Amino acid sequence: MTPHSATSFDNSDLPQLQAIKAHLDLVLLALEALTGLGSDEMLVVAEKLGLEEILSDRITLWRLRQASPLRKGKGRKKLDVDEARAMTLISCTLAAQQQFAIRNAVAQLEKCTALKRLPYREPILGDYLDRFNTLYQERMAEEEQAKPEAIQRLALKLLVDLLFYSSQIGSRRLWVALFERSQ
Amino acid sequence: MRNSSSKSNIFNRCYDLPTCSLEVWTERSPLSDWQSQIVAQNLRFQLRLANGQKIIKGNQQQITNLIEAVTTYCDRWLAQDDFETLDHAIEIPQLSRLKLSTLQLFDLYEGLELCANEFVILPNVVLEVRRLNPNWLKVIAGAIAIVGVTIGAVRLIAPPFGEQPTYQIASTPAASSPEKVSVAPSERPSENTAKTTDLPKSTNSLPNAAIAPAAPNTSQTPQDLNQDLNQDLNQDLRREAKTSVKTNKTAIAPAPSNNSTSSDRQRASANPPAIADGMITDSATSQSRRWELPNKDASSSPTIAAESSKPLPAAPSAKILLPSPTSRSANINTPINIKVSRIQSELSSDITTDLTNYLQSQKLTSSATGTLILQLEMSDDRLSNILIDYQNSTLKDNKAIAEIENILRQWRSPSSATDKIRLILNLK
Repeated sequence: MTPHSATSFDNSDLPQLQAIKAHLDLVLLALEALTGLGSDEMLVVAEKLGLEEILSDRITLWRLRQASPLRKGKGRKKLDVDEARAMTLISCTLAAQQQFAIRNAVAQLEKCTALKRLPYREPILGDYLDRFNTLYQERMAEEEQAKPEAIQRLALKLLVDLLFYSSQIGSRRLWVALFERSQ
Repeated sequence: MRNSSSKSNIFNRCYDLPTCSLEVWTERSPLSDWQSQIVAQNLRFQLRLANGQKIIKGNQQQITNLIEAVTTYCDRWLAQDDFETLDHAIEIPQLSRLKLSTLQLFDLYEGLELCANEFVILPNVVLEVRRLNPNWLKVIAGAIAIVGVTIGAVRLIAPPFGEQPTYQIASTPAASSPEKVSVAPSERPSENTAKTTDLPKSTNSLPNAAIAPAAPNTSQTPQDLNQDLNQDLNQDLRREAKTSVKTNKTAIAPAPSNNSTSSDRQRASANPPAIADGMITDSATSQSRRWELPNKDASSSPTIAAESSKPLPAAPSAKILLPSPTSRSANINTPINIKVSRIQSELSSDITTDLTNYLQSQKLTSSATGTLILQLEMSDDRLSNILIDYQNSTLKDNKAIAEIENILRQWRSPSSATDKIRLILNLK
């Protein structure tokens, strides 16, 4: 799902950079969908990592996530490198905390895929996919709305991504992946 | 991961993960000293996948390839937005093809990263030894030879130019006597020849060579003088005699050199006068005697030492000529110049200088040479009385003496004064 930039002044960044902002938001979205984490937990992690200067309140967090080109609403769509890094660290820290849940979900996915069963029928995966779908449709702009199949594939992909980001050095992988995406 | 006990140089690590187990044996490379991590050397690994279903063993190069392949695959995978399959196939050089599930891939990636974080695993470097192209060597050798020969040739040619002046300077002092004053004369020959033509005096035409024979003559004077003078004067005169040889060579010397020699003589002869003015007469007399001797020997006119018309350094001082034989015959038809060999008075230097300059600018018509000693009395701005010391003067030509008297009477002083002046003139 490649986000195409809206025809507005706000999205003056290069398309490659748009992908970075979109992905960061989606990673957090996947975490929310899988684990039920909210902005509170994100802010706690931000404080633990010493990122209060960049991210200290829900409004700021919302604004940073709002920079995603997929999101509804106009407004500031800029994201600093510092802010992107902060979001990277927060996402990976949260993923590392939830590694067990993530691994379980991926294992389930592997199994049902091997058995050729539909993912949404699985207990954990079904909940995840439902929540992901709901949040996505709530937050993303109209023109970005895709077919449910596409959203599901996106969700599953993000799930596996979360598995890799949940490692001890996951933040480095995410950071590298962001730049891989931008190319 | 468990750490097994290791010797100082050999490490063994085991990275256990849910779906794979990686065991590593490695030596510690000496390069570790320059790294914060341990640099692996002769690394061996064993990878157990899928709970032992697949075992892969390899060396350092193979694990390097494995890490490279897995990392690249995963990074590319994560950058994609979509995926087709959860089964992953990774091609690894020097190893078999890996087929992994996602979790296996993740665990493998994790184990390899943990190992790579702990050890620095460098790829093996194969050094190739190739023979240099012989043609290149010949060209380089030839170039070096040319450069070397050029430098050597330049060194042979260039230095002599730089060294010759030093040799020149060094040789002349060696030839001359080891006197302080002699150093200066060594440099005079060149100057003298240059200035020979400049000085408008008759004696200037004398070549240095002509003066050279005077050296032995003058050298005799110290011997004669030794009998007459006290030891201090003897030493001074000896010194001066030696220098006189030099000054003879440098007969037509520029003023500075003359000043130095004459000042030496002056020192020698002036020492007694310096003691007390009252003794001037005696010393002057003895000096005149001194100078008589060489004059007799050579029927000479004094040397050019005092030729310079420059002002005398001090009021009671006077230049003393070095007697040396000069060919008078050449001067018969030429005007006679007056040289003030000595002027003694307590007058200011302005007056004495003026008188000296005045006298020396005069020329006599009568061709007579010799020394003339006069005692002058000055009052107001002119000479009121002129007394001639016939006894001590060598000049006997009355006509010349009369001319000199006339000249003296016509002199006017720049300032008024009343005093006595002792004057010794040399005519040639």
